[in-house]
Order: sequence, then C-alpha cells, then structure tokens
Amino acid sequence: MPQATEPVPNLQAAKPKAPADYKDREAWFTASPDPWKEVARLQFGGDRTFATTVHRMIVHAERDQWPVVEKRLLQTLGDPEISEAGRQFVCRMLGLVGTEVCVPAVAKLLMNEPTADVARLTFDVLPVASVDEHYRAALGRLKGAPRAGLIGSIARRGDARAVDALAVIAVDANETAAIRALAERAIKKLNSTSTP
Amino acid sequence: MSSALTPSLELLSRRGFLKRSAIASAAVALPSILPSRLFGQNAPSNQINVGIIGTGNIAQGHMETMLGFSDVRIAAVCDVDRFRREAAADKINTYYGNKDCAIMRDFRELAARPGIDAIFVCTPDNWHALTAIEAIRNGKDVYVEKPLTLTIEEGRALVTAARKHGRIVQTGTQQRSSKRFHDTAEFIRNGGMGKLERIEILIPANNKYTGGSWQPEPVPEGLDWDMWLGPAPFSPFNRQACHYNFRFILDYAAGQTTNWGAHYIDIAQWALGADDSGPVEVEGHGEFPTTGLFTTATKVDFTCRYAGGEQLRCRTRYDGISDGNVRFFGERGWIDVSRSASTASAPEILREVTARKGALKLASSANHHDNFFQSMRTRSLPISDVEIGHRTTTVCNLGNIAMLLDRKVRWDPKKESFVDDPLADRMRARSMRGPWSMV
Repeated sequence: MPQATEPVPNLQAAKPKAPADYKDREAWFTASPDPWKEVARLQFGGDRTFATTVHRMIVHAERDQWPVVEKRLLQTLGDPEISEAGRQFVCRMLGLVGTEVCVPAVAKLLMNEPTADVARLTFDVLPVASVDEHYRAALGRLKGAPRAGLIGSIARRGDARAVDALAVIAVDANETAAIRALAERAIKKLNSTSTP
Repeated sequence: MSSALTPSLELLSRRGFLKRSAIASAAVALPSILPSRLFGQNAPSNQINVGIIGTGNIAQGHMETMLGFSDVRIAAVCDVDRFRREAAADKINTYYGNKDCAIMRDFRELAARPGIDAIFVCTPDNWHALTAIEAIRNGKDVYVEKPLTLTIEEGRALVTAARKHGRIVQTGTQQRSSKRFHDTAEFIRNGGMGKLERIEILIPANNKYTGGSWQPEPVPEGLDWDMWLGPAPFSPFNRQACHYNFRFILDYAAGQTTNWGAHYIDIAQWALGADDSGPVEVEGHGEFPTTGLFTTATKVDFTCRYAGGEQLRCRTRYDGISDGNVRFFGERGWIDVSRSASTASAPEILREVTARKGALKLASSANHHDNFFQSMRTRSLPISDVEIGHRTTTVCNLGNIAMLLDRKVRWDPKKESFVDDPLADRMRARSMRGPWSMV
C-alpha cells in the first residue's frame, strides 16, 4: 500500500536560538507561561485554559493560603494591559477569596462607570464593612445602569447608612423615574426586614 | 419536615382577586364553574388570562397545553427576540382565530399589564427570579419553569416575595403531577421500603461538552442581546451562547444538575419529606470543561447526606437515555421510578405502591397546569409550591457548589447557609449587572 506522504518539517531550519549564557539557557529551557499573568490577556472567545487553572488553584487553596492568592490576583488586576475579560475574571475570583486587602484596588474600578459592574462582582459578596463606604461614595458618582445596579447592591447588603443618600436620589428631578423608584424600594428594604 | 397536606394560603387579597377577575369577566363572559359562595353575588368569570415571558423551547409546550384549556386565555407574550415573540403570537392568534395576543419586548410591561392574572416564566434561569418577583409585585400569580432560580439567595427572595404579596407560585417540576412519581413518594413516606437507606439518581449527560465557540459575533437583527444577558456579567453575543444552549453556561444556568436534577431530586425530596428542608452535607466531585463556551459540569457526581442519615447520590448517566431515574434503597430492597417505567427488586413492591394503603396521603395533582389554575381559584398552595421548588433547586445548587469546590460542604438548611465555609457562602448569591437587582 502506498504510504501517505506528509511533508516532514525541517526542524533544523527553524534554528531555535538558545541563549549562550548558562543561566539564560537554563531559563530558556524551563520557562512556561504563568497562568496568573496569562489571565490578564484573557479575551472573550479566546482560550480560557489559564483562567480554569487559576480558578482551580483558588478553590483548592486552603484558608491560610488565601492572602497569597489574593496578592497574586491583585498583581494581575494591576496589569496596565489587562483585558476586559481578564478584569472580569479576576474580580470574580476576588469575590471568592478577597479581603479588606483588595478593597482599594477594586474601589478604583467601582468609581469608573465602565468598570463599576465588574467591581461589584467582587464587592457584592465581600463581607467587609469598608465596601459599604465605597458603595455610598460611588452612589454620588455613578449614573444610569451602573447606579441602578449599585443601589441594588446597597439594599442587598443592608447598609442603612445609605438611606439619606438614597432619599436624595428618590426625589431627584434630574434622575430617571426608574432609578427614583428603585431608590424608594431600596429605602423600604433597608427600613424593613420583610423584603423584597 | 413538611406536612402531607396542602395548607390553604391565607395571605391573599380577596379584593384584589375580585378586581382582576372582574376585568376578565368584562372581557369574555364564560360560565363560571365556581360555587357562588366563594365570590358572592358578583361572581367573576372563571377565565384566567395568562402572559408568557420567554417564548422559546419550553414555552412552546406550555402554549400548546394552555390552548387546550377552555377557561384559560393566553393574552400576551413577551420575548427579547422579536422573531420568537411574533411567532408565538401568530401561533396563539391562529388558534384563537383573532389578533388579540399582545406582544412585548420588556417583561416589566407585561408584569404591569392590567387584566393579566398569571404569568408563565419561561426565560433562561438567569432571569427567573427577577421576572417572577416583578410579576408578583404587580399582583400576578406565577408559574416558574424549573429550576426555580439561578442561586440559593434568589430562591429565598422569590419565596419571600410570594408570601409577602400573597401570590400563588407554581414551580415547573411537573413530575409532582404524575401518578407514578406521586405514588412512589407516598409509598416511601409511609415506610413502604422499611427504613430508607439511600437514594441513587441518574440524570442525562450534558450534551454540550467542549468545542462551543464563544467568539464574539454580530448580534442578529431582532434580538436585544443586552436585555437577553440581563443581570449576567457582560459577554459579547455568540449564537451558541444564546437560545437553548444557555443552560450549559454557568452565568445563565447550571447545566444538567439543575435541568434534570430539578425533576428527580424533587421526587427524592418529596419522598424524604424534606420539602421545607434539605441535606446537611454535600460532597461533590464533578468535571467541568476547561476552555471554550460551555462551563457547566460534563460529569455530575455529588452525594447529599440528610439529618436522618439518608444519602442521596446524583450522577451523570452515559447510556444515552434522555431521561433520569430515581432509585430508593430500603430494608425491603429497592424501587426505581422514571418517566417511562417503575421497577422494583420484588413485584409485590410495585403492587403495594399502586394499592396506596398507607395512612399518609400526599397532596396529589393529575395535571400540573390545571393544579396551578385551580390553586389560583381557591387560593391554596399548588402541588409544586415555590418553597418546594426553592428547596429542590437548593439541593441542585449545593451539588453544583460542592462540585465546583471539589470537596465536601456542610449546610444548615434552617439558616440556609454553609457551616464554617466562607468561600462556599459567597457562592450562595451572585452580583447582578446594572440596572438589574433584586430590589
């Protein structure tokens, strides 16, 4: 039987350029992508294997390992080139293991309308009191859908200290009827335990 | 543990019912089958006007069923996909021979629409709680497809809303309206198998493994993708992520764990008498796709332990059968029930099941839709009341959480929180993208 004739790749022609320096050469051999850094490049529609790896490391981490995990996530979040999908992923993960430590970095996202919803992926489930302060501060900054989502988060967290700010929104003639009504419902919820 | 009897729902506003029914009465005069003592001299029409939110796959079955009810009228349909909502309205109008079916894109418009008595929530799971609660706030009774909600927290919020506003909420776990499942659960509850030792549930395999594309694509004409996403985190449109397939993406649903688990775990909960409770411990070891579009478990395997010591194991079947089954093991052997058959370790067990000689009689229903409509009329709890649906869905979600964590979790069914497990506790809820919230 005739054999299939697949062209044999000429690997020598590729001429891989191993560094001449001993240490650099050793590093060249052993280097592999760091999933914690790679998730910053995550794209919608792209390979999410690195994200899966990070997720599994997080859920398997023991409680006393969380600070290290959180630190690594914050390093990724601080990558100036982080993608939209990468930021969303990191914020979700911080929602699982984040503490007071992640609050300043995530709060910056909260104050920016395009990333406010993503910040709440972390903050909404974070049992940290300072989150409520940042939510109240953001209430005066955000508009439109991010503001509406924020109002829902405040009500869910039961932050009664937000009632005064919500009361202002509830009667703000410049605000949409939907958000005014939402603010009213949030106030009712915060003033009552029999909700929603 | 729950009572075997269906309690009456006393929270409901009779005045509100009369008012809404009077509107229906003015629209279409049909003979009432209700005793006049229920509603006094101004007996309303018996017709129930229904609106449907979400007109895809599962809604088609509901439409066809409801068109067969002479005292039910599908008055409005709502979908974020214009092609789907228009096709649904055409189907309904063709059947009724008119053009009366209202069509809308935004569920809030349907929820607020006067003259609608009941709303069927047939959206992706991601939307169940929000749409149902909006309907409840607007005084509508609601039939919510299973699984009841995407998260445990949303399920409790839905129960609270239903009770607060005195609305009837039926969960779409229609196996409770099947005699086969009913009689088996009743048999178990009456000790027919002796002491119950364990329950084994098989559910169909996830038919969407890896390979699905989540590459961004242009949104097709007629689809409001932002509204489709709703409270889920933003993701660009991809056709495979949308209709039907949503159930295999964790942002929108929870895979076969809730898709089929909601049916069969529901029967186990019924047989265990755990309709207002749940397991105290769940251990899960599933498998999830590592890349691509789909994110729900391709291999489901989790085991629940109840306070009485009973164990319930739910896992994926790989024999290609598109049905589940639940097998109860007790001192007398086993009995197995699915949609197609009942089998047992000894023939006399099956005979005893159908004989129904036990003293405890579970509430029964011969038709899930009719049970819902009758519950609306009598203001009594339906066979798959929202609390029951919530508790069953909670078991499914506990299984999913345990599998995602790849370990054992302890659960307090009274407090509905995990025991000494802050990570798992954060998975009871989700953040909602603005403008959506549970407020």
